[in-house]
Amino acid sequence: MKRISWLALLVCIMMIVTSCGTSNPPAQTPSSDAPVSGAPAEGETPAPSAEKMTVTYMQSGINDEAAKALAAKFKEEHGVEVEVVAFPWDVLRQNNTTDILSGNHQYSVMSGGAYLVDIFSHMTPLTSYIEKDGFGEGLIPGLMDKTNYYEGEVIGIPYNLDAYGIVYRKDLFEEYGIALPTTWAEFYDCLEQLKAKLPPEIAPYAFAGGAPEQVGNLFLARYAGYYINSDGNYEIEEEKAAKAIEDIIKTYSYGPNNISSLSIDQANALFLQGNAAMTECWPSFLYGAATDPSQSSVVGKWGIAPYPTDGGVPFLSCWNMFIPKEIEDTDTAWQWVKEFASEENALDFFLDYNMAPIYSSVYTSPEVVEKFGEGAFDGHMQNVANAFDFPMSGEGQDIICRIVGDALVGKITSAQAAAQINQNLSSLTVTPQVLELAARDPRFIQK
Amino acid sequence: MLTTKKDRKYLWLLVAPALIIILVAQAYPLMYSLVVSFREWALATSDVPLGFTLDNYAKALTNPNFLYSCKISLQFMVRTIIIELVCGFSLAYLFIGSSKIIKLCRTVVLIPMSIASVVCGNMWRIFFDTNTGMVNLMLSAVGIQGPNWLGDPNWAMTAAIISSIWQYVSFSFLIYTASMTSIPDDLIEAAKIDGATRLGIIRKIFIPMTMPATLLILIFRIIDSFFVFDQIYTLTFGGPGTSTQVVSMYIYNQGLKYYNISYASACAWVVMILAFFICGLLLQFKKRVENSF
Repeated sequence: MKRISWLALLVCIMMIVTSCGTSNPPAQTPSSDAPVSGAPAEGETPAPSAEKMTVTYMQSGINDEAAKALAAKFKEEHGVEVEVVAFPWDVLRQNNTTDILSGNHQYSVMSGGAYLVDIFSHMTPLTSYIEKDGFGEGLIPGLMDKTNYYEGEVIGIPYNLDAYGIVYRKDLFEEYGIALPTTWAEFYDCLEQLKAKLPPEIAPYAFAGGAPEQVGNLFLARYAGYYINSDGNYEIEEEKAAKAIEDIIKTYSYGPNNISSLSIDQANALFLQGNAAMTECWPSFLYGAATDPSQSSVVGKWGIAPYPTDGGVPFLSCWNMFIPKEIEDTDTAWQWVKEFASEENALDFFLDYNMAPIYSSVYTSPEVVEKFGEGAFDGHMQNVANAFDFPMSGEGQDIICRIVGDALVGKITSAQAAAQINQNLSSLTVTPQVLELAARDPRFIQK
Repeated sequence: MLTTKKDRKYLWLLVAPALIIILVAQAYPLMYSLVVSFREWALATSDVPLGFTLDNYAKALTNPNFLYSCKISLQFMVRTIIIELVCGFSLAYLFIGSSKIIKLCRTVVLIPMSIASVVCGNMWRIFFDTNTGMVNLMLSAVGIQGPNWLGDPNWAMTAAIISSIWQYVSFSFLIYTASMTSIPDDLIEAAKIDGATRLGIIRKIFIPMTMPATLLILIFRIIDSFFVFDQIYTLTFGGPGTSTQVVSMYIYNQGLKYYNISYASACAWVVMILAFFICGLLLQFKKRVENSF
């Protein structure tokens, strides 16, 4: 027994020593000056050298299904087998980050967004590829300014674009003579009018209060202050933040009694079934079902309204494709990225899979107008033009979501919430990548 | 039975595969996390662990959010375990016997334990829906207006406790059933002859005789309930606000969402030491109880 105890102790010590020795992951942090497999020369079409590659997408039945459809064509044309792996959002984020951190590099193309800011330094700069292939013609104006950058270089190619928006019942607004709001005061006036005129079974407003991460989107749209102070640290303006939180509390009061526990699907279902006149949500989660009579009772009766512009900004969801620096065949990965995000595929992906397009032409194409109606996306395009990524790390965003959530259920006051947010944010560091992201809108950084 | 050297060699060979798996899949990651907890490693600032520091532990022990999540976990654990013990004991006592109906009832009681926690959490999320959920519909049938279970911070924890009890009372029931079955019948008969009431028999015979089972349940359920994650994640996502953000969710967020790897490791070790301490005390008490028999 004594010998076994000594043996166990020896094994533990050996493990600790081994752990100390393996502090470096197999792949070293790449220097941003390190040469990357640059774009092929002008006029040269590179032959893919990889026979197989793996690409990641969010499991949604949208992007992942579109990718699987393209994978079959890609193999025919290029002889490269593309394995599409799809994960729920949280898992996708973890798997992408772990793939880089562990040095596995099994993913040649990664889907993600600004929330991958911590690993931006590991992504291939794509500016030279973009210039060489002329990628970007026909994109929604200003979109490439909203994609992901690292040290001034484009590292992410957008392919699915959405902006948090107000989806509303056009028929009810017309029936009651309510004008679309252009300011936040008018927004609450709309809600008040709806409350007075709607039958009791229809709530003026619905929202996924039970999905904690969505609450931050409401805050971003209403909060009119900065997120980073002039010293380069996270800080919000407490008075403006408290007002924004009060506004969200006020908005909630127009929702059903269980608004703080509704999931995204439940809140969207309320609107689709005609039990709510307005909702704030990702329109792309709604408009597929909203045009299908078997899934919705509001076909032809809904629209997307632009957010008031006297507060914050709409939250931008711009799915990007990234190519990690350490993969074997960057050129083949770029070929996939280019084709998946191409204008040729955009219309089919939108009509077949509801993948929100990044090209202006798709929104005005005859097929889209026939399906969704003339001008169906005008409000959406205004939101897209004004939308931005949350100018914080994921941890910062979660701090805001959780603490604002506490205020919304009455655990703390809005003033206490604003103070607590700053208290929690003070322990975080603003990384250069986040600073680069935030600098794109002058409102995010204190002057 | 004395084992020879040859026997011991074979014993080690038979145990070796399991031991290797434990060493590789459990012991090594555990030791690695211990080492990492004393280093500085947050993905936002460094790709590799750096230096040596006690700051992670200092931060964990003074961070109000971590301490709050520990408090939430402790509340969840205490309330869940007390009710599970009482309900499990009561059900086991109720279903003493060997008739077909009793056996059927025992099987039904054991079913929830076979359901995955994630499924259970999703299922109860539907049941607790304020307007369409089964729970509030049943309450309204008897004239009670049900609360906003998942959206009211005062009720969200109760909802989580109910769903956990529903699933794991079967475990207590199973252990108590086995323990009660082993109580000699003549002891109970003798007590009845001496004029003991039913309550007296429960107090003086059943409860003391099932004490080892109670302690065993406590040890297992303290660890399970203190580290609950999947059920809470699917039921409330830690909300509303931070009302049900248990410590495992906090550590998950720190380690796998924000990639504050060394800080998350330190938090994990702190709660693990706390859980080991509690279980250690219980094991000592269990030994004393068993020796007294």
